[in-house]
Amino acid sequence: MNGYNPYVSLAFFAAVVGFTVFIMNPIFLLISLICAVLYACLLTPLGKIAKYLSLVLPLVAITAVMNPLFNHRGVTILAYLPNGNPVTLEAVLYGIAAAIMLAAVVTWFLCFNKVMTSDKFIYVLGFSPALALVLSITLRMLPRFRARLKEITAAQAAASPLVTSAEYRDNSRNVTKRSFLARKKNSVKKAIKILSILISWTLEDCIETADSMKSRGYGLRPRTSFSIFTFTRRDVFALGYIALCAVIILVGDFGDFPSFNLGGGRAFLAFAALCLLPILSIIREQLTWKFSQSKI
Amino acid sequence: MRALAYSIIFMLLLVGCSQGQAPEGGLTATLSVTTHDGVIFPATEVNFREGESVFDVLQREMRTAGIHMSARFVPITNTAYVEAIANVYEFEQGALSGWTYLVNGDSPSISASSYSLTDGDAVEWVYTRERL
Repeated sequence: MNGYNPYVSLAFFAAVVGFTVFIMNPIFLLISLICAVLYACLLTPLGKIAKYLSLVLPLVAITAVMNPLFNHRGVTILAYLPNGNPVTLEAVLYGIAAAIMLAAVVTWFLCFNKVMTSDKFIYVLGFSPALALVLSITLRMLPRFRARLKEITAAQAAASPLVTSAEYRDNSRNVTKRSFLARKKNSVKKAIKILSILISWTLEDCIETADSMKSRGYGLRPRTSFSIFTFTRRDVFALGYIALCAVIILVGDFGDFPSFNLGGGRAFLAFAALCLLPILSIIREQLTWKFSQSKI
Repeated sequence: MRALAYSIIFMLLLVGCSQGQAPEGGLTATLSVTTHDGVIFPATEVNFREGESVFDVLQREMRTAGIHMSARFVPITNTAYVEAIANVYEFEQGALSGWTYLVNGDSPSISASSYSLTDGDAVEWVYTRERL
């Protein structure tokens, strides 16, 4: 979805995440998850995906296990909990479905973050430049905090006045002699110091940013913002494609928990077509590139 | 991955636990379970041990009969609350609907898990749609 108009990208992600969450059908969820993972693999390096999986998989497993422990609805009793409440097949399946939904949505948002860069965000929120500015600054805050925290921690570790080299030698020689409390106190002290540096740095930076924006004339009347995005024929086609898939899906009929209705094959095909759109578009781009190369 | 392994082990432990079966001979009571429009468990003679509560007997009998039943537990008062029998849940028929019980035709004003049964009691569990 990278080369499309930001509105088209937004419509795509809204449709995919919306259908995944609101039509909690097992086949929909599987289609959604597989496509999201494929797309994420195309967008981000594999190492990052592995790191992300190590975070998400335990969460997914916990979700799947938690549901049958607290939801006892269902007619197929598999076993009993120690307190006498039943574990039902329906609740287990629902837990697994909820877990897959969670994984799929998180993966889609991973892709969304890669595709919707801050310039696209500002373009999409063009109706309110102030909101766009605030949102893009806020969204940037967290990764920036993390980067700075790393930097400060490294600097503090290299030259910490809290731990002198003599003290360090003492510590390493007889670690057990210093009480647990004293060691904790020291680490809390360090953490407070790092936090204080982080906050003052960030606040100072905010003032500098504001000054810089003011001196460059941000928000003055005759000035407008420039966006490089256009709405091309390709965007029209993509939007039409998304709309067509959405209509076919919405016409379909699905069961509701605790029953599963596996009818409505058309809707499954439409949803698969919708989820595959970014992958198909990448493949098309690659093919076009290959063919135009061979002609030269 | 370790969290996954732990949760599977936890799950297996929970599944592995089982409850004792109905005691033989001794004290008996009559138990019946009815909803507002049907009978789930017709009046049946059941055995129980000295000191067992209405809730204990219901839970054991539902389990032996393979009927779904779900309860909530309130640790602070150490009582149990029956929220569903046979997938008929409280609040399904309005804000005042839910499961309540009668012993010998009277509705005791204490939790079913605090009411100790005596020999020959007739316990009826009914799904009420308004205050009894």
